[in-house]
Amino acid sequence: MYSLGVNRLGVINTNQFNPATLFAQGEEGAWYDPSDLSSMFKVDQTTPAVQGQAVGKILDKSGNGHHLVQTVENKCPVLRVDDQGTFCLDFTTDDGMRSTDDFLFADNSVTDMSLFTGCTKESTGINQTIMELSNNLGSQKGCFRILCTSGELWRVIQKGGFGDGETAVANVLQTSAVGNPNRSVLSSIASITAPSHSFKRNGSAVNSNTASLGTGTFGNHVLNVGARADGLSANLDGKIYGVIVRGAFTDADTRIKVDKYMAMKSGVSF
Amino acid sequence: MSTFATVIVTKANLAAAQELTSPNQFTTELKKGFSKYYISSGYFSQEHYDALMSSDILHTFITDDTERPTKTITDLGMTVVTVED
Repeated sequence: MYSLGVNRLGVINTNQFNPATLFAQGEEGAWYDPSDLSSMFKVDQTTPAVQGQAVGKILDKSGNGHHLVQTVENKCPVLRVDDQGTFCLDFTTDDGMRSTDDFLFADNSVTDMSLFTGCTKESTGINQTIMELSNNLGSQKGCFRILCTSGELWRVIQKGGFGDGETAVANVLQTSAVGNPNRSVLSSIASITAPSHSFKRNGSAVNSNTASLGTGTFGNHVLNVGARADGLSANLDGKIYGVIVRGAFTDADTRIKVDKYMAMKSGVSF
Repeated sequence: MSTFATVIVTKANLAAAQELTSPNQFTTELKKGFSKYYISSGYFSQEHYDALMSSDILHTFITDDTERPTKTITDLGMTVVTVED
């Protein structure tokens, strides 16, 4: 039986998709999966996480070792099963996690970036962070950010410019108003060297362009999830079902598979 | 080894604070009246922690990891400057 997309008409198989394949060629990046209980720990970083309690560490399943941590208990998200039976990390207005080390996009000369997430925003308000490369995109080069913000919309920013003398341009795409609360699967693929940026929500194109992101590469920065600067500000009031950051271009067929995978993890159908 | 701290410096000392730590720190702007400040909170490497401790640029330095930075900011009468990206 084919439940999620395989048929004789050529529809892409997604139910067997394993995001680990996105990193099979040694691509820099990370994959966080709150539905994998073996990958999460309490704030002590060693005791397995328990549903309904704070999560202080979630392992990077890409093999790159960029684990997310929060060492202050009252800033940790809570592991929950939501109303649709899907596992998620529930962030409130004080919570946030950050990678234990820099993603080495500059060291690996990364100029293409693919971002995927399944998430829910549960309140209005500006600057609610899903993920951000660096502690503050506004003052940094070679970074990205996915957020929900004023006007009840989802916004993604991809920005090049890392390296001495390189120029940074923020390439911004956003949805129209989506209301509140809103559960979405979001994906963004951008290139610095072949200037382009494509943003999809729930598998459908939101917008795309061939505008510049600047020059240089993406930078060596920490990754923040659920807030800015280790939970300090721009906190998400909502849930995150999965995050994939891949420092490489992702082709159209693979993108469909990843979007469908995130949909399955998020309780979104499209 | 790393040590928790919530550190606030004035705008005049921002460059010095980032020189002692990294440009990725002290990126969140605060204000109180017409004055501007920058905050960094979390676990600092021992090198960065010691450098900050021995400097004379600190406006606020709190090592209690049970105190939320948002409370520290509120207690000081400051607010986070929110600039929409």
